[in-house]
Amino acid sequence: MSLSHIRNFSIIAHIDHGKSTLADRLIERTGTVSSREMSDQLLDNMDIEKERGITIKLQTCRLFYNYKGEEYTFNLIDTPGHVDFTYEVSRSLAACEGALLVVDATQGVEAQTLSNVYLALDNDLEILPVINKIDLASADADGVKREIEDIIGLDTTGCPLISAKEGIGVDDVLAQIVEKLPPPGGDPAAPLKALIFDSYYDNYRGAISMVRIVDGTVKAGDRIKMFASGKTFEVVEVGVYSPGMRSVNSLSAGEVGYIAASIKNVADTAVGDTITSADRPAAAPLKGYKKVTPMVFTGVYPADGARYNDLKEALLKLQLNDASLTFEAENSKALGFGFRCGFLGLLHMEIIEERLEREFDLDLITTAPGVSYHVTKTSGEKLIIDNPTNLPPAGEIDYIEEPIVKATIYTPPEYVGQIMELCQEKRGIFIDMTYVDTSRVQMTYRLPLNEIIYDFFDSLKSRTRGYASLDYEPDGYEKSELVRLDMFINGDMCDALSLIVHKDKAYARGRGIAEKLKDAIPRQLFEIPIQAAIGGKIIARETVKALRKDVLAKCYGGDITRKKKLLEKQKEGKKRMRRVGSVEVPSEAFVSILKVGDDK
Amino acid sequence: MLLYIHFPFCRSKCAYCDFNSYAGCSDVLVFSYLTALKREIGFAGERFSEGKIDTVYLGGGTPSLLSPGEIESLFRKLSSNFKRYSPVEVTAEVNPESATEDVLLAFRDAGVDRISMGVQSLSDDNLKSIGRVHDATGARRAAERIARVFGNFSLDIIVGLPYDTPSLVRDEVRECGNLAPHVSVYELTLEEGTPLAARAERGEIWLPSEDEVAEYMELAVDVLSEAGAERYEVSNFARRGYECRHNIGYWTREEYLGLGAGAHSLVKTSKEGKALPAEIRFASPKDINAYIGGINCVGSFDDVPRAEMTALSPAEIRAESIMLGARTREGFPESLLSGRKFGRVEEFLRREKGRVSLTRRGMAVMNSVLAEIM
Repeated sequence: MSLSHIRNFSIIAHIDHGKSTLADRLIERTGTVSSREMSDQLLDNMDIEKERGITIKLQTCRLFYNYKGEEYTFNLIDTPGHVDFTYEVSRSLAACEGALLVVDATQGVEAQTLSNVYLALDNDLEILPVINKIDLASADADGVKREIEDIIGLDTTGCPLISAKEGIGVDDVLAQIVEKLPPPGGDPAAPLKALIFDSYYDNYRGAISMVRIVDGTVKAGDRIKMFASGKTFEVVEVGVYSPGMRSVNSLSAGEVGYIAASIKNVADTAVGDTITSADRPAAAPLKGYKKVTPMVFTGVYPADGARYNDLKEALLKLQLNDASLTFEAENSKALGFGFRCGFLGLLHMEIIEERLEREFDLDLITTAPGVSYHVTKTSGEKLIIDNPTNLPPAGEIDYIEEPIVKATIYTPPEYVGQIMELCQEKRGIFIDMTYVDTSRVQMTYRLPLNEIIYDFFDSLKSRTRGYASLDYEPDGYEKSELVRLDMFINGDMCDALSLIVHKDKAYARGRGIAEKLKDAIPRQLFEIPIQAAIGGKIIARETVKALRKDVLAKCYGGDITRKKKLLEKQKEGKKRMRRVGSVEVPSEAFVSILKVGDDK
Repeated sequence: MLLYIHFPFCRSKCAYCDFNSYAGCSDVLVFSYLTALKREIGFAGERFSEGKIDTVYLGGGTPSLLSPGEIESLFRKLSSNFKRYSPVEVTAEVNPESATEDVLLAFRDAGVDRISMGVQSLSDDNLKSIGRVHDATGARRAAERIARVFGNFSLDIIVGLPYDTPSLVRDEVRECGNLAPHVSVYELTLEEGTPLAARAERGEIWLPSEDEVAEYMELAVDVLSEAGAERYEVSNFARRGYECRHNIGYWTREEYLGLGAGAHSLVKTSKEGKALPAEIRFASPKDINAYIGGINCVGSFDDVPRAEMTALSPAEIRAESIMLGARTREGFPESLLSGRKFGRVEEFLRREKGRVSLTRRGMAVMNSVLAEIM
């Protein structure tokens, strides 16, 4: 296949701007999938993706397009749109020469539009702006064009105006992909260099590498070598996604596809690594990716302690396809055995938890999400703490540093006041504010990550009626006055409820959690004091009063089976409780306290 | 052996009621039911020909809806079919509006010596809110009619009703305690699927809090004790010698036979050739037509279709003994706890002369205590 007839591109967009819908239309219009097989959001495989209307894992698909009598091969790499998955976006972009930038004609440029554009520019991609949703009454194509030119600096002359939903303008997009996006370079005869931009585990074929061939050719039977590990494998199958897996004879420079080589361990197909030929190796690997580090941590426990091993198996399986998920075993007095898991962000966390519950049928208890702190002890020893229980006593701590992010917020001007107030409450430091045009403002703040993951996003949405968009990137660590907040139930500390918070927030958080616990813990035979404490000093107290009435009504006409069932249910319920000292705490209590927020 | 007879018909269904009872049924259905019930009595008489009948309890539904003729014929069927029919207590349940003099006399003539009447409240607002047919005055008059015929009778009160106040509860319980030698006080339970539960769910009625209801129960215990009626079971209060023999039988796990739709039985049998005696709980179908159909298509007691049937394991028998015994003043044998002690929970238990019973505070939170000790 001639390189000049290949186009490798991604679609980038802010969440909800219609990226996956456009991908569906491109697949449909090129006849890659018959309309019988067509289901909405084809590339979103997971149920969660379809339900939430978001893309989590990147997906690729090969399309054939006939333009002016010549056949072109398109490799479309769909990308996630959410800030948590920026890393996945950057990986897919590295496999492309061009990107379609989809902007919603009713919303304009949003925070992630911009961050995705920067990622594309970092990868030297040609960007083709596409204005979507022009069929809607509130669409303002000209205004949005102006925004794209002013904010991003892209030429919008002749850019496709489309409605992916209605199928308007899709042909124009296809034509411009040929006209405006560059074909790949590379030498099919040179030694093999293939960039692994994703890998996952297939139950039948072992670890599968999704690759972009930069130089050379690969086919079944070839012996390949991984640059990172030096391990060699024999290729069993090469193929493309269209959109299901379809084997082909070979993959050559410029093409995108997969390589299966009976690789048992997904770690041997590390994302960012370069595959070369074992017999005729390339001199040097391609530039890889920097490894992502998790930003958000939480304890994940099975509601039924007996299912610890099932949880472990499930996490291992998910990790095969999601290298950004990290976990290590931990042990809580209240919750038993579980795992401290690291995620890219809150959405990533929610999605993993949901997948564990759905795909593996697990009931989970999760602790409050936290971040990773750098602690320097008075002895000079440095620690990284991602579990509040491991924080040394205050007396041993010289100082603590917390992760900071640079947050970019786009908003209509009328919400600027509310946003400033919110950022102030969240210990934000104002950096910059610019009027993009009369209807939109870009605000930049430095904010502690632990405030962002608490309830920042929900507060932002509710205070701006959903109009503001947020993007953030890590921006180093800073010293901060942080304390550990502990909760005591009937005098016993409940490790699963400990939090690291800023000292100015500790009182309100402690009181909020104590109130929630009071409501969540059912009355029992004895009164239960609930206390919030910082370093042994009690800062809030609530009491669950002793139960006064809990009695079976009359045994009517000797029908005692119902009473027996009731008692059995009560005993069943006890089994699902966690014991903190002598008190039974329902699993729901641990979850409900995560929702202490503005609503209090 | 105790005998329970179920008459599942009512004039109207009360808003809180989830018992096996039906309102608005035709006379034909009632007739067919009574015919089937008598057929079942016939089967039972044959099957348990050696069984001595110690107590009889005619419950419902509303047995006072039976005509004097039906009452006479029903009890005649009982006494003629059980060879050893010499009950020491025969109770019939009545409701105020249908407890007429004729009916009461018919009960007395048929051998009934104890009446249990559902008063539920002496507040007209409460009675109306739970869909009772009678008012407070009607209940008082009925109690007077009963007292003229029967020396032994019981009045039922429900606490936790929408218009309850401490003084209302105190007054109505005291009045009942002065009128009758036996009073039952139940806490209102919102049963799933009842109109009252639906109204509470929709916020159309306001019910007293758990703590208030607990307080009303405490009040009732005090007031009845002043009236000379002692609490001998969680919900039952009697002057000395007026305790209900039949109900005590349930709590002490005596053998009982329930006849009629949805009626439950506990039968202890010793199967030939087997060393261990078996204890079996079983129940008839609740649905009236299913019950009638089932009785009419079989020819003996053992063939009667059952809605449930469970053979009890020794562990279940032990658990039942604790669960039921804990309801009573006498409690259960300490040996059932196999020497175990329960820390702070002990303060809800009274251990005396080899028996364990619940303290007054323990009675109020019985479920939680049972969950700890069973």
